[in-house]
Amino acid sequence: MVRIEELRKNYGKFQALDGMDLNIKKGELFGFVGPNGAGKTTTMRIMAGLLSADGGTVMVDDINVTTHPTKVKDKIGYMPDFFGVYDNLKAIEYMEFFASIYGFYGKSARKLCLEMMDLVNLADKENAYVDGLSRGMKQRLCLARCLIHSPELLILDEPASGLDPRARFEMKEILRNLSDMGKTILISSHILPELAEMCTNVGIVEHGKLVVSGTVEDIMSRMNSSNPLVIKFEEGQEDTIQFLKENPAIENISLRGDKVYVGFQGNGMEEGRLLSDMVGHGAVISSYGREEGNLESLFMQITGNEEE
Amino acid sequence: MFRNPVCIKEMKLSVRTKKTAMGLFIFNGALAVLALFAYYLMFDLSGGTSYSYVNLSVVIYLYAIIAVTEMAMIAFVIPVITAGSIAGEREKQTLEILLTTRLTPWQIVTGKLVSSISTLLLYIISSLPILCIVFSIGGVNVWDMAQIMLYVFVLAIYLGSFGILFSTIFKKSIVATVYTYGMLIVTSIIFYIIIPVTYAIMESNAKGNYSVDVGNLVVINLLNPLISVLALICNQIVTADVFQTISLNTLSNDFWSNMEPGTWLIVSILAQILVAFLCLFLATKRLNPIKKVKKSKQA
Repeated sequence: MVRIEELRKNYGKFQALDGMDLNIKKGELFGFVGPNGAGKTTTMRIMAGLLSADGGTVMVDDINVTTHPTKVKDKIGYMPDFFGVYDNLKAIEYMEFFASIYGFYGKSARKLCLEMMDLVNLADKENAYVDGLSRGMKQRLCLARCLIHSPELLILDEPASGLDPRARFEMKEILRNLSDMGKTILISSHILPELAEMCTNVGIVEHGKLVVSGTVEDIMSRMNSSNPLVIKFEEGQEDTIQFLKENPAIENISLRGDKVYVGFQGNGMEEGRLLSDMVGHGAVISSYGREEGNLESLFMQITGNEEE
Repeated sequence: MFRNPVCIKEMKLSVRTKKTAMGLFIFNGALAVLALFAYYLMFDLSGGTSYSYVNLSVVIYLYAIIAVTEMAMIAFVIPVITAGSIAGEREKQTLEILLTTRLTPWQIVTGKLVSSISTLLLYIISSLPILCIVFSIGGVNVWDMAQIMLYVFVLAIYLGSFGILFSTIFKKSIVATVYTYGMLIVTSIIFYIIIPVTYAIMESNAKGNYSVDVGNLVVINLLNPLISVLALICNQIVTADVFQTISLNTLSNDFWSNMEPGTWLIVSILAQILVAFLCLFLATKRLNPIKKVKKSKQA
């Protein structure tokens, strides 16, 4: 659905995008993660036709964004990281305005708008002025506005930013529903646990480049393979630690509480052999495995140096 | 054009704001006070003395006073209405959203201009009862009045296009408004002053050795809305030579000094419409984010 190759963008001397590559398949709910200034919003704005790239290509459904911006606009729904609403309009009028942009007028427009508002749980706010809506409701109204022309791709820049936990939960549910309806969704966020829970795929951006991408499980398992082994001994801890120190594959050993953390590079088979060797050496082990990581820790690991 | 979503939305929003209602009240109130005061000066005051009489040939100027005042007030209102149009969208952070929809920059620009003109039409139509005071005197017919309306329409497009252009250039409405007023001053006052100043300089250089004329410099007054209004009024109620004197065309060569006010008006309307389209074209270019960056890429 989205293919980005070697995307480059400079703001004066600042290089916002430095050869960004990204692939998003149809129906994916793709989480775009990165620290501030990493290039997430710039990438999204280029995709939405709000910025021109200095180099590279952006294809949405095999249509080049630069050469055919109008065709692409029919395929995308873009929601920026701010509300962008007209306060003196009623919610339904706001929706009807955007419906008229896409050629829907009169009763058909009203029906369509109500359907979209229902989809984001705002059906009862039809006659409320936008000004009187809460932040979460305004955000959902913006999302409903994005859906009016039934776009195949939704580009959502920080849709949950500034929302309270309940509003975030509601937004998450709506996005899941949209994903189930077959929409391809690109979402940027700083709330990583939610992204990990919601997204089918994630990409971590740093210095204008995509550093890691894949399914959350893939990334986690890749990350976990470099995590230390966590071992809990019932008997023979001291002897086994001495034994492990003689093993050249062991990088370091540390004690935290009643657990031993062992830096070990190796695949599943080698992990199994190590366990077998320790048991053979007389150790009684009640738990053994790689330390569990999460998206947040992975994000911190990748972007940690930048923040310092 | 009235199917333009931006235009419809803007019209809906503008009539919901207190600003429009207050603007209409102040506009018509000021115009009515001035018209009634002029009426009083011409009839009641002159009729109050034992030697007084009403000179009906002078009373026709009541029409000129009201018409010129209305034009001036409309010219004053146009920057306020148009200069905030695109900049206002930017301030509300809705412009980017519009640009990601199917709307083209040209549709946004023209939608904004037409909605601004429709607001001005509201001002003009609401002021009709005041303008109709002149019918009580006679000497002016409905066609004369319609010509005034038509020129106000041109004036709205002309000055409005400056407002729209500055609105796309500057991020803040207030800055765009100030620049639009600046253009109003430049076109109506500076352009007018340049001609006698140039003439005076040329005359001082000539030291009486040869006759002086400013040549085609008076052409800049084709873009002067004040001169266009004078051409319109002079064409309706006074002779051509009065217009030639007021417009300073007599400082120029024969071609311009002999031009009838009616012809001048038509040429100036064409020139102003042309400038308006140029401004709207530039505004469209400014609004197109892709085009803008392409240019810098080429550079």
